[in-house]
Amino acid sequence: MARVGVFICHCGSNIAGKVDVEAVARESASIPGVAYSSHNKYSCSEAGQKTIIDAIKENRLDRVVIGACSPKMHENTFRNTIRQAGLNPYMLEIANLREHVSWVTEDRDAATRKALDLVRSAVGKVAFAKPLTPGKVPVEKRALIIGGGIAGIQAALDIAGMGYEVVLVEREPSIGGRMAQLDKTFPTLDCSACILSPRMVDVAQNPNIRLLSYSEVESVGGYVGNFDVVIRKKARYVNESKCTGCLECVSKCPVRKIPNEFENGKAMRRAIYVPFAQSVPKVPVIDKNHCQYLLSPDPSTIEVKEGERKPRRRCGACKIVCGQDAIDFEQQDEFIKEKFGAIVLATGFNPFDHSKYGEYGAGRIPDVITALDFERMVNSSGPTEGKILRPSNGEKPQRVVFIQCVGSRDEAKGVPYCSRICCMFTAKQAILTREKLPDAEVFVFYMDIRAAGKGYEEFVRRAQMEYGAEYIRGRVSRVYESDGRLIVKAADTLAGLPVEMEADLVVLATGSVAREDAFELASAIGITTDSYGFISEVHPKLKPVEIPREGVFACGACLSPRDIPDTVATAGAVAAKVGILFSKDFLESDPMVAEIDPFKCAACGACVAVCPYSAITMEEFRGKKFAKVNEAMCQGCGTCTAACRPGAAQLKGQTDEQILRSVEAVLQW
Amino acid sequence: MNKLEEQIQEKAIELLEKGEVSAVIGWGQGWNPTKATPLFARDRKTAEKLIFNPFCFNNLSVYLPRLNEKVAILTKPCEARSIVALLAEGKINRENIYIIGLACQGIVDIGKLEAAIGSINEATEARLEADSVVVEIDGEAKKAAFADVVLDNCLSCNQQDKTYCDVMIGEPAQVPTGKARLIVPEDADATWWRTFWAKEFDRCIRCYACREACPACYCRDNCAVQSLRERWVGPRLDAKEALMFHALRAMHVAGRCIECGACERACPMDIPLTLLHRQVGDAVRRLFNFNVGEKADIRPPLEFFLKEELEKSGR
Repeated sequence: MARVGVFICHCGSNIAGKVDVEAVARESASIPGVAYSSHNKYSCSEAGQKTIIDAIKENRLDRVVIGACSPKMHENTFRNTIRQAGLNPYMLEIANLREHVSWVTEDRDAATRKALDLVRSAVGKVAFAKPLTPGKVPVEKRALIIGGGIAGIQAALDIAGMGYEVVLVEREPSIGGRMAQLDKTFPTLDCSACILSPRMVDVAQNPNIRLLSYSEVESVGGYVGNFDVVIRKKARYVNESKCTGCLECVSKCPVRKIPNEFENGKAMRRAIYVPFAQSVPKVPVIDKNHCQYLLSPDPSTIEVKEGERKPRRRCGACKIVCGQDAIDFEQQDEFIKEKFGAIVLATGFNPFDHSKYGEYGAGRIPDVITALDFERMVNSSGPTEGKILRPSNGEKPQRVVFIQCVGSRDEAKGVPYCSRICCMFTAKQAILTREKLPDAEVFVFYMDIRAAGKGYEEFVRRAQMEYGAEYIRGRVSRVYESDGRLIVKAADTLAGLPVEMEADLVVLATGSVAREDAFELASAIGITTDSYGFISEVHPKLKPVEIPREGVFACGACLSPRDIPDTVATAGAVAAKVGILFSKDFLESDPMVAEIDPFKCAACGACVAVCPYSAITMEEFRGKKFAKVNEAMCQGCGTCTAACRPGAAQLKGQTDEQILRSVEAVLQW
Repeated sequence: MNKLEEQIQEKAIELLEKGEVSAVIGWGQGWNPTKATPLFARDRKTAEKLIFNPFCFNNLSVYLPRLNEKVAILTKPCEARSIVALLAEGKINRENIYIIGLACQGIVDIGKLEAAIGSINEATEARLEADSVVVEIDGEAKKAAFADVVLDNCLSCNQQDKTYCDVMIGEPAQVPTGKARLIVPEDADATWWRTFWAKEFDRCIRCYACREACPACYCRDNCAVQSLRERWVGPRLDAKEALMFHALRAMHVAGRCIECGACERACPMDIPLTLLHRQVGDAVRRLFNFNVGEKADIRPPLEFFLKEELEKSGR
């Protein structure tokens, strides 16, 4: 017979204020199996814990029920307490008398009755608890970082700085991400490329970092400490080890009219290209969808009929000029399979697609541009070499209007959240406009100014006071073309007057949205996203970079819109978390995982089909098939136990038997 | 012996003598001409005892998950879906099974037959003659219209020309139309069903014959209702516990049950279990647009999740 000890906590007046704790303790003594019961002012205090330890020893208790706050708060505390008394830490059950009773029940009698019911239920359950021991799994001390923007770069440098090996995977031909596209950064106005490119070079030079650019993660299997990852290294058609980055090939490529993705499509690139001057690695890529050589058939395979012209020789201009013989048209996609202990997601964001805003021309008015277009325009290596010009006629604008919250705080467009960075970059762009075009007028239409950050409010004030940007509070209702100029219609909500003004250039402060392929990425890795597609963290305050899949972390704007300082801070946080993981040679796996009784298993395979972590496999022993759980991969979600018809799959510490007993304990009284 | 039986025996002997299978599972004569019984033919002599007539009611696929050898199995068109369902669950290996589909003209419901002509325990001969079933008892030929005594399942049979099999014997036949054994009122609501099942399950003696006859119930002695640790079903013999057992079974075979009615035919207390399974089956068809036993490469619908289902649920 079990000898259960019941300890009821007052939690000051938190529980005792609504529950008659003394009565609960007294009544608990008569529950079958209970050998001892008492109550205590603060069970979690050192004195309270000592009382529990002493009572366990004196009364030879072999399992414990604690009626206190939510197990989320102190389950671990009390597991350690009973461990100190010599019990297995899993011989414990918490009855939640605070969140489930005192905080949510008005009537004192009802609260007391419910508290007693929960204690009975916990006694019924703990009576069938079994001692559990955690398993041990080795840790592969290598980190995979997905995404080579500033978040991924910073995380890679920090993890590599701790002495661990890092593989940085970037989908584009170069690392750098969104930050590389920016001209200046707020609130210090330092040049984005000048502060980013040293970091990019550090990545390339760090012996602990292996950079896989133009590569994508194909699949992720395994579990914390032991992820099996397949990476697709896309064919670049340029041999990275031979190429010196002279870019002679680029200058000779005859295919010139391909919109450059890096310039947001506002400039052209060749079929062989590097995205931008500071690209890392500085190895060009051949765009197989535009390369004349790759698109044309091999002439030797074409039969030439009489009277027909022989097909032209294939292009291959780049191959001819390359002094290093680095061009390799035969290159194929390469699949790299590696093991990692931790995975960091740093996949970033996309700017909002303003084609949803018909009232601002939906992208059809050439002089209505996005903030990212403006960044490239104002950048000296951009399409206009840093001159602010009207795209329609190439003239200098006399009046520039900035519209904030395009794709932010707009429920009608499906983006009710604040993108956090637009107020600041608009202020920055207003300053840059006034610096470059001192004669031009600058107007900013805003809803609210959100400038919470070090030096941010001052920065916005500078834009207004020092640089003379005219801020008007109100939403722009319409922008349209008229006589070669733009008409901006809005309401000044402070003055309570309608506003209509002419403008030469309108810049939309487009918000941040999740990358469209984030859902695919998320489900491939077995993680969840919020309703906007941003990756969900475990706890927004206390676990901001951890995600529900153990061993996988996220940083930067893939979690939610954020600026560079916050992105870099979360990247550092991720590095610390990875460091904690890698500081151990072995991980203790949670023993509260599923277990399948091979003798009961009917080998129907339902558990294998439903397991979201692919932790169950079908095994065979002497001709009998049965399902088996990989305890290190199992996350203890219990889906298999629900799917299992004969009840062979059980969650340790939460077995069907325990649950039924705890239900019965409540019902029979 | 009719022509169909000749062909069956010929095929069985051929398979056995070529060594392609170690047994042919079919039907043989039972203790009474109206009661066929499962027969495992492992040699020519037993194979010559294989029969097929409107009294071969057993669903033979119930044996497949228990076997570890290559066998041939005779199957009626409807029950071939049981085999497909087992294949879909990976419970049986396609290479180990040779499926002989049989053209079927309908199977006699013994309950309906006894209701029409009285006890058939003393029958000396039984046969189908044109449109009627003729049973000879004490030298007297008793007749019942085939349409009146055919199984409910046969009334809605649409499996004749799409039998899942390796070889088909016989020509697809026309199945008679008739009246169902039990007609549920159109306005049957939860209260009606509760009263109905309370009455029916009151008879249940929990012999588990329904479970033993069911091809989907292959957990056998590990069945959840027999667990001593987790007492899902209490030991008391009453309608409440019986309902728990049957409801549990109905949920366990949801999306896997082909509604063959083997459970109902096995029931010594004559509980109309097919009604229960048809109701669950209707829900599966409605919710998942899924027909059990149609495709061998899709697992039961309760075991996986489609994004469209989330959208359909409106959440």
